[in-house]
Amino acid sequence: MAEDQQQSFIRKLGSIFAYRPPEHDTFVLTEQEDEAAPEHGKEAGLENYLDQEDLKKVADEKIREEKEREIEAEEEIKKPARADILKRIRNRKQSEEEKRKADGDKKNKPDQGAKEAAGISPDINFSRELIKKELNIPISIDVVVRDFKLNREVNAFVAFIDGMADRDVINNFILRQLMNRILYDKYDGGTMFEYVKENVLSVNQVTVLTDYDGAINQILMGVTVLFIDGYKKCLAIETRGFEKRSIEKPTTEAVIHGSQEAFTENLKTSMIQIRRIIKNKNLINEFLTIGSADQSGASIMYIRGITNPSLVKEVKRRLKSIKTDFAMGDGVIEQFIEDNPWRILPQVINTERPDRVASHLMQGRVAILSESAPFALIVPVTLTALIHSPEDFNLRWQFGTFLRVIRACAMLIALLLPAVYISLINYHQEMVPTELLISIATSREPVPFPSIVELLFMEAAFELIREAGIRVPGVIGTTLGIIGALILGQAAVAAGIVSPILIIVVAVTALGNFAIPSYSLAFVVRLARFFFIALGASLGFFGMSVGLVMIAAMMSSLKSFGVPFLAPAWPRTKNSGKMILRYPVWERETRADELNTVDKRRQPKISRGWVKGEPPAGEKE
Amino acid sequence: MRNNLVKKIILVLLIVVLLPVGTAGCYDRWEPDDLAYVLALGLDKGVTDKLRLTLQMASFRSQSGGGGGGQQKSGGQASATESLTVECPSVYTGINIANVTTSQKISLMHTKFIIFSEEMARSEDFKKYIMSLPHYREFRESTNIIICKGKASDFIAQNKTFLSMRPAKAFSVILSQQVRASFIPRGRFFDFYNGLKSGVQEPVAILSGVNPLKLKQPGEGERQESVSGGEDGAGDIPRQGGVKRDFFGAAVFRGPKMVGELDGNETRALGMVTGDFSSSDFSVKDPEKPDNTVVLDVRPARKPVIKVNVKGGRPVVDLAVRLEG
Amino acid sequence: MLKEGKIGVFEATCIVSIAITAKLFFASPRALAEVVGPAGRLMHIVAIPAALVGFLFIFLLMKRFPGQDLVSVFETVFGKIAGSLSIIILAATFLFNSVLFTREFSEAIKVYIYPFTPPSMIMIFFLVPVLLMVYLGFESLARTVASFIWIAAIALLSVFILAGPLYKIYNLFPLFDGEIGYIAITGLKRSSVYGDIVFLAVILNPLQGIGHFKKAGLMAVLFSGMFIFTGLLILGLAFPKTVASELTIPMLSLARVIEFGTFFQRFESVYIFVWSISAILAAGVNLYAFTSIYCKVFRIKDQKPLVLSLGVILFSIGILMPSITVIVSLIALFRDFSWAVYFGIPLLALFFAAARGKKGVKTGA
Repeated sequence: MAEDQQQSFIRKLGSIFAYRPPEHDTFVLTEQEDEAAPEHGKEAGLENYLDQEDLKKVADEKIREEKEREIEAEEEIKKPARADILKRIRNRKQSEEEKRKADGDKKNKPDQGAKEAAGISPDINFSRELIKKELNIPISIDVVVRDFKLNREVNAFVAFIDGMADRDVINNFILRQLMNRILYDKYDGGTMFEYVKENVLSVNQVTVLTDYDGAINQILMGVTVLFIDGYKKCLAIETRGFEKRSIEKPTTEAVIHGSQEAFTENLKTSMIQIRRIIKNKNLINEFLTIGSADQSGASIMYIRGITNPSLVKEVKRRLKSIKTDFAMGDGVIEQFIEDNPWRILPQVINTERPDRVASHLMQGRVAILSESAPFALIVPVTLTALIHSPEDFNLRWQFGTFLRVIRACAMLIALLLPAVYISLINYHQEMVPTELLISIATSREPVPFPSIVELLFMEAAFELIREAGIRVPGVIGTTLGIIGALILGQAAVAAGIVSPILIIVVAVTALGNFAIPSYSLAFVVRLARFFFIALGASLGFFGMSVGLVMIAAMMSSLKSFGVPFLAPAWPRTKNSGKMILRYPVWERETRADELNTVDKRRQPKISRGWVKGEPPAGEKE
Repeated sequence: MRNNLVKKIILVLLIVVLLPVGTAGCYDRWEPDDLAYVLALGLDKGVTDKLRLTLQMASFRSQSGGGGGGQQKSGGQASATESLTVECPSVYTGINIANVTTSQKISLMHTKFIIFSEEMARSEDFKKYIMSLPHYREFRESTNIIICKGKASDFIAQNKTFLSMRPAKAFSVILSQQVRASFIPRGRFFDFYNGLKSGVQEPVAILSGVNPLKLKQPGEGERQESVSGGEDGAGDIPRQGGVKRDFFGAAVFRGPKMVGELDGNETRALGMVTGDFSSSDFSVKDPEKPDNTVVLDVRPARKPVIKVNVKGGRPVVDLAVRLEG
Repeated sequence: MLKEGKIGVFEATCIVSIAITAKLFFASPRALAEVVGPAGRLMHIVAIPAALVGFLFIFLLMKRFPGQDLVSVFETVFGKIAGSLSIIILAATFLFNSVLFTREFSEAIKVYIYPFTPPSMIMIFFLVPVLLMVYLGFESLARTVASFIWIAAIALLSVFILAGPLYKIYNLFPLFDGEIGYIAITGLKRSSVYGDIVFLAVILNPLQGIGHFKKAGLMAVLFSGMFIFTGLLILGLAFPKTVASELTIPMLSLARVIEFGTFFQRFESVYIFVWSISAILAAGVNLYAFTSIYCKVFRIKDQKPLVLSLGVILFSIGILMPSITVIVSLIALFRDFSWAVYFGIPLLALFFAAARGKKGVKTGA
């Protein structure tokens, strides 16, 4: 028995090492074939950006519209058939209901397939019942279904969610208008539906829906839906107006020089923030729904004519394929779409700055905005994009380059300094200047632990301070960090638990970590630091170089959406120097090569036209 | 699959964190306070055994003055080092024996100089010891080789800091500072060993001695007035105050055996020929007015050019030294 | 086929250069000093042209069969079985080379820095990144190597420059020490140091074309030749010949004596980074060369399942060698005769192809 178990354990252990073929094909971002064709300013066709499904949808839409028109025409002619159709729909509905019950109670989630085909019934009573049932009235108290009569004769009702929809709009511009008889004076007995849409409602955005599924989705998003008796469609009236946070300063990516606004949780506002920066008609904003239970939305933004179409298609493919119940926020979406979840390196840029998103969009990347999180995702990611801060571009190039060098140093310090310290004082004492070494030794004498324990203790304490600083409410949080670090460090030295030089090492490391502009990259560095400490403590500099090679190999094999992580350094391209050096703005003539954009040129060879031009007459020297 | 995933994660964590720390963690790890740093190593001829080894080590005691609470005042004691002498058959055995007294492991990795007594340097044993030095891992070839008149242990007893509390720094700076004044040669082991091994070079070491620190009273003893400064040998420099050890002049070797010594002035001349001379102040008597002394700050202008011609079986060496003052 | 991706001339040059120059960092210069004295650098003046001639033959062979890599060329020329056998000999050479790197490095670092650590421990640590690189595939291997080449080059140059005060011109004389003929013959034999350029012929497909192959090969030989020559020259300048043959690892000894002001001394520990990284990369390149040939001969589509077993093989062969003296003599033997494998077999193939009148099918332009 025990032997059996042991064998199975060994087999399991073996299965961990066993080779498994890759789960999916890697996506390669290819060069656009007709590179020569799109001259500057010439637009790439929109159809390039749509995948098969989208194209089919567009075609279907057209066909359906035509069909509907026909059906409408038919309906006008043979009203008697109506009851028949209704009956048929009801029958189908019931049979589906039964089928669902037969499937068992295991799935509480609404089955999308069941409702899909259900077009809106012209019978308003049926519609009302269905809506009430689907939205769980009266158990759910925030959904409102309000019945009334149009022109005192036609039955109608509106459905909306109290709080999601703007009450002012509903009261003043929908219900008041709809029930105002004066407005129906001109009604000549034609189609009430069209009349209401065209003459009565004074709301900016009204859409016609033909199925219950769409209607319910819209209601859940805060739209008010109007059903009128006798029509196979309903009106979705834009009334979204929920409470939201106003635009504030960025908190995790603050800059001194540059835009001072951040995203909010509201998707619409975020989209507008970007549109306000890029006033380009080719900025395309597509909306997708992810997650089956929460129906959370995400919006993909890209610029037609710049972004590589296959990149857009791939992003859409990945987003659409997500099947989960709850995909809230950018963090979850990020984890669903990243290429390789086993690598600790970030494979998506998270940012809360609209200007950063805009600049990446102009570079030819794709942004994904999600509901309910004030962050945008940008793909594909490169190391360069992660260590660049939006501030670089606002500063003059000399300062920008200097900042980048500082940041690169900060990253190295945050990653390696504790490991270098531990290997120096444990293995390579000869390298430390004698005087310093003796004073380290003297200050370490009262400490009863080995240096590695000391270091880990102090690192743990700093991590604690950092984590606690976020949790502790309000003003105390920020002060706690400083006071905690100061007092803890001082007390630890006084108590003889750690040596003073270690406090410096740990503090500088923490500083270096805070200087990394990307939060996710900073997290990677924070974790990888412990890996290096372990290697440095076990074999000194040799152990660290093992770690360095491993990290470099990992980085160079990583690809995010078909783009190598280390681009533009590897593979080598013309602008490999841009990684650290910030070129003067007039030198930045091409877009990042690794993105294989449709339009590669950002600006003409001579972007400062005045260099070639003549100064106004009389001003010349 | 799910189960595998968890195991994979655990395995990766184990490999990453526990394996290196757990397995390799301790072989060559030394905490800095578990080591005793030898700053100077002295070799004398032994009385009962072959060798008498003197170790001068940096002490951890008087260093803590910079810390917050330490109210230790070392007062007049200038030296922050402690020394130890053992009788032993060879250097490394000696270090092992010396380890008996120290709680730390004695380490040579920060040794600044190795001192041989003149008696040792003139004997046959010298070759044996000097040749065995580079085979020791911790020994560094940039250590200085010093030949001292008298006993090395006496020298180390006088090897104290002056004006400074930091022996390690003082010991490493004092020689490089003096090499600049060219009264001593570059006495690194690297050069010494290469000279020993090479067919075209003979080794030179720094000469040192213990100075009695007594200026002669007027009328007491005869002494010639110096011609250009620096005619004294190590240990004879007329001075008072400071510490008793002198580094002055050079010890000249033929093969692994000391054959003579140069005073400061001769060492400067040697430096001019080999090209190691950096700069020095020469006092020259004014030929017209013998009472006046002209001081020249002399620096090399070019590298010396040495031409050797063999004329009739006898080598003739042409030497061109260009200096500027 | 094995997925190897695409690399450029620069990466290819880096790969071969690091495999060649890494030898400078270990016991090779000392062995050289024992064999020919200070004339090691002169010998390399012979070895570089010899290697270039060898490379010319390989180039001619590859040009005869456009679009084919070395494995398929051998199979066309010698026939399936003989061709496979001959290429396996080449692969075994690469494997052995990487074993030598592994063991030589662990012994060297044990002597200088970690005297109490068992070599097996160091070897395990050493093999983890090597195997990881092979696992991740050729493209990332090439990029990793190319990322570190700057660090290696800068470090090497800094040793050259910082050791400046130690140079004594007279250490170089007499310039011609020993017989010219002896030096020339040793130089011809030592062209096997540059034998790693054969690897370029194996990775011809990711290298995209014979033009790139030529460029990368020439650059690699010239660059690494330059570095090796300068390195030997500098060792000759700093150490008299009698001392040079005593040092276990001359470059590390040179780094140890660097003294540049009161702070810039005892800095050789920093060079451990460069030493170990270049050894890791060189071992990785050699191991990948073996893996690549192996996969191509036996038509294996993915190198990933091989990696773990390769690691075990590498470790066991490495641990089999009893001591550093054996390793050093093995290396000397290896350097003397591996030219026969690196350049001899392709030359034989060229003759065979010419005699039988076999030619590759010209594809494309």
